Amino acid sequence: MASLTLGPLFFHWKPEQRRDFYYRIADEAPVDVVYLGEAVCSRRETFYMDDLPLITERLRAAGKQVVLSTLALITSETEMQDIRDRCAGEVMLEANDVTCISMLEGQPHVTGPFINVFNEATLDFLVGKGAVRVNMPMELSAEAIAILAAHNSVETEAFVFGRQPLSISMRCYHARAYGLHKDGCQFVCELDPDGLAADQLDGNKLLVVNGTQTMSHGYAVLLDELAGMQQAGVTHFRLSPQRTDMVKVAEIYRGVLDGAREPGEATLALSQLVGPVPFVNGFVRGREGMAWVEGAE
Amino acid sequence: MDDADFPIHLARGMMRLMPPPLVERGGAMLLRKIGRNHPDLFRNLAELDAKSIRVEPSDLPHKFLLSFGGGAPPKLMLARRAGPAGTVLKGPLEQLLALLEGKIDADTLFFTRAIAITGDTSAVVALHNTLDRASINLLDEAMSLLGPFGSAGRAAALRLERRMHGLRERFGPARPAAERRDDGERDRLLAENAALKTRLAKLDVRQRRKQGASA
Amino acid sequence: MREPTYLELVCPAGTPAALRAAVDAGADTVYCGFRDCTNARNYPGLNFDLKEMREGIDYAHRFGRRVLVAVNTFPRAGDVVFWQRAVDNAADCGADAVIMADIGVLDYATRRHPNMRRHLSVQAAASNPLSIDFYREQFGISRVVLPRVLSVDEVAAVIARMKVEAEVFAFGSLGTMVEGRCYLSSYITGRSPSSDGVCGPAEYVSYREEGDQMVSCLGKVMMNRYDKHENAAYPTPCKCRLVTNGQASYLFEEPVGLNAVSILPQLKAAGVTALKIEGRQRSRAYVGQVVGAFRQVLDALARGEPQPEAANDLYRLAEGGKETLSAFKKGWR
Repeated sequence: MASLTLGPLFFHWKPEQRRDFYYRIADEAPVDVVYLGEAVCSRRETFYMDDLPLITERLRAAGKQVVLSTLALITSETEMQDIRDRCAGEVMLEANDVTCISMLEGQPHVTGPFINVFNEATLDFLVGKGAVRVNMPMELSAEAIAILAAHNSVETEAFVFGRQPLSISMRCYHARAYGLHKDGCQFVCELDPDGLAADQLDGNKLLVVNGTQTMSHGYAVLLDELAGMQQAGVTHFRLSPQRTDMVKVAEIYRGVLDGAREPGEATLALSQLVGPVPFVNGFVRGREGMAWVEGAE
Repeated sequence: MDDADFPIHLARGMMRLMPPPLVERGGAMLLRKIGRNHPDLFRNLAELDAKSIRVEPSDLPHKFLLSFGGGAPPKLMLARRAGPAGTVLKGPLEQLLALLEGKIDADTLFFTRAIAITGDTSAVVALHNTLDRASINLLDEAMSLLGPFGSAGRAAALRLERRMHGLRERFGPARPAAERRDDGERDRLLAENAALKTRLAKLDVRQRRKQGASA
Repeated sequence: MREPTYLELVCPAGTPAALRAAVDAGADTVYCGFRDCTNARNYPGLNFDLKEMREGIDYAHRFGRRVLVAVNTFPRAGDVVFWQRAVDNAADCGADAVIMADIGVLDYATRRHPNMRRHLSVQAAASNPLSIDFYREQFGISRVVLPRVLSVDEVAAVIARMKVEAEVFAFGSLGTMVEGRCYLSSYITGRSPSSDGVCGPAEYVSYREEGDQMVSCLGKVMMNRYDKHENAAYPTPCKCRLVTNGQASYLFEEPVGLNAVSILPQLKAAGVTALKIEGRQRSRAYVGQVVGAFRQVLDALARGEPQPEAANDLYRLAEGGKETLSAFKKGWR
């Protein structure tokens, strides 16, 4: 049966908001796997690291698998040491950079969407190192996802809801947008819990920035594609936390995965829930990522 | 002036005076000559997707339409009708010719806005990259049209060019004084500006936090 | 092979003519790619077919210089064989090394061509000693091209802890995003640096004049609006002007080019082996000028002489006509 997962929270929410969010997910959301941890900026971790054991316990008690996501870009000595410690820990890891792969060799782990698994050869190699679940990179088309999902028996996961991470940098654009530097950033990313809009000069929407990460302005919504991907052999479907009612989002997706809801009706319900944000599904449809192709394939 | 350089003042002067049909015929002849001397270039151009570029030298009364690709040899015509072209390339004749010969980097000209491209830019990129594979010397090509008189023609052309160049230097419009890069002063101002911006931003963030807290 | 003086000068060649220009201007090493999507500069009219590659490598070898072949994009699912053939072809043509980024391609090259030198492309974004170690242990890479996001101190720290040669970018255009993992171009155009080898492909770029201003677009997205004499940038997403909090700015990076000519001694002291000049998409004239200038500077440094005049010419060639030390300098972030 298809599993529904909740990806790592990419945004910098206040610690108490973060804690309440996960408690509610534990109690109410029909998701099977929850990814915790910081994928964007290690500077934020100090704010909520101490809460993670409690959150983990609560999620596990609710029957959810907990996976700890790692940073997408690892450069400092401290970051490397943290990775070493976590690789030796008991919680399963999601590796978002090859830095972790050699330390995780032979140990079951998930490879995250920030590791470039574009083809069967790379997939085979990573499975050989112990990957038990492989996330499809953001850019892949349904055709490519189908080839990879059918290639071997490893679990595959696709990103089906939320702002799509499009790039990562050493430079903090959030700080830059507020006229600050990364080292003295004052954690301004906290001011934009759903990302800071970066619009075109003519006023049209395009991107949002979230610290060192740049994301799509539109939410990826792959409800129409769920059935096709399930048939192709994709086993896990990821919802990425946004500032909306994620429990309801999970319920909508669960309904479509189970065949209890029509994708068209569900898409409408979702757009009423999240408000005026546009939806995108271009990547999976083999088009430019920002495109929205209506209806089933 | 270097002897190997193209006599740009002479060429510009002549082309301004020439009636359009003559310019067109001269251009076509030159292109055929280049084709005979550089068969690889013509083969590479034919392999590209079919495109046409309207070339508008800003200092000439003529506009040209250059077509290439799609398996056919390239064609150069006068663009008589002002109809919309897929791509328009504008700039001083000197820069356009240097581009053709591969003496100047297209991106550099573009960054500094010496040339302008409007419309579909892939035509210009494909043309430039293909031309850049060959080494064309326009003066040699033009002079080889004169056959046995080529070397005499070349010497005469360069002599005339030197004279025109001299006249232009003496009577032409004054050139702007070379820009002086006062890096120290600029950097100091930039640093000061950045520091002020940062202070302002910090105040702004504090303000937003306060509003957020009271909301 | 000729021994490099001071630092190995690694130069771009988008065409056979540029390769010859680079060799003639004093490049120690030239890098280039095949005429398809297996390399990260897949632009129309650019790159080498098999015959040109063989001839180009022969030309460089005649003068004692090396040629590196970039097979540095990520194969699409179902198309892996195409990339494997490119690696085989590079080996057949006598390339001195192949530059790769994809784990699957590296794995193939390691097993199939164990004696051919393998370099790790900047597209692999190996930005710390642990990930570089991973690629060395698994694929026996001899050199890594370091991402353009590290400061000089960080470059030194990484090199001190790794066991392969380091190549760093010294001149040219720069992306501010971690390379090989940037989907901005494909978000806007559907064509990606990762698999198609193009960023902001020309067939999606258009310009139009609006009064005194020039507007550039990528696909349907407005990238920029320039005043009459304002310098222009590449119409790529990380060089576009965006509006945040009501203010338009170059949010990611200004239209500037990297020029590290003033810090070459620091880079040498940091343990750098080779300097990379960016610009396979630029003309042979550019290649000749930049390589020539760097050659003079490196020769002067080797002799312990002050920096020659030639170094001053470099700034004119930079993107936007402006230069920067970029991430090499502290405070860039």
